[in-house]
Amino acid sequence: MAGDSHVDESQFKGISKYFNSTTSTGRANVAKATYATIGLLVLFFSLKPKKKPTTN
Amino acid sequence: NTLLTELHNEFKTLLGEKRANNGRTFLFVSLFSLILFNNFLRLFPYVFTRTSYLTITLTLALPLINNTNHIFENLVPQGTPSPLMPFIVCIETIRNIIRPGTLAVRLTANIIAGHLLLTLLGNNGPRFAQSRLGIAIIAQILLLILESAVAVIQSYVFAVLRTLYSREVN
Repeated sequence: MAGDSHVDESQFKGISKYFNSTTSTGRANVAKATYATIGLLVLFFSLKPKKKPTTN
Repeated sequence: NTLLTELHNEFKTLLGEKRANNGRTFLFVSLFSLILFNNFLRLFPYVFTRTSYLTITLTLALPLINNTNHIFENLVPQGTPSPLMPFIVCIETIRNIIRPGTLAVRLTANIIAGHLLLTLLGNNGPRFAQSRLGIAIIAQILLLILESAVAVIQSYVFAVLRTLYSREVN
């Protein structure tokens, strides 16, 4: 893949310093964060207690 | 051997000039030769066709991850707009998972289809009327020529795609 040797990292401020689509670490962090979010969502929905139907 | 030298030069161009790619062209040239040899062998009668089995082609197509250092950063192309990045990650993940499958199925399906046509035409040959036998024989010969071309083309396509996928990952 094309490297980011010519990218000036000082142009990124704040959260875009860690999550961007220009530097290799930024791209890797975006992918890891996406996987972590999906994993957490899956975990949340699998561990969520299921509602029991109330009987009268 | 001119053919193999030409292939070596083409794969070298595809892989690029990185030092890590030195010698890797031999792997893909060997892959091409193996598939070409197997594809040609199957054109002879009563020969077992190895490349028409998904287990064989999947084994050749599966090892796509050689370098694990850049797995995550390859999931997001450079310059992707920020709102699209999570969706691109999901799409690229699915694409990477499906790739060995498509590579294997492409080769298997092409080989099976041609072999099936040849077998069907050959098995039904005795049932043809004498007047139509000439047409059946000519059709069989034309199919054989087509299958010879398919054998070369499919092995080339497989090897080139493996080279390109390997270049993307590394």
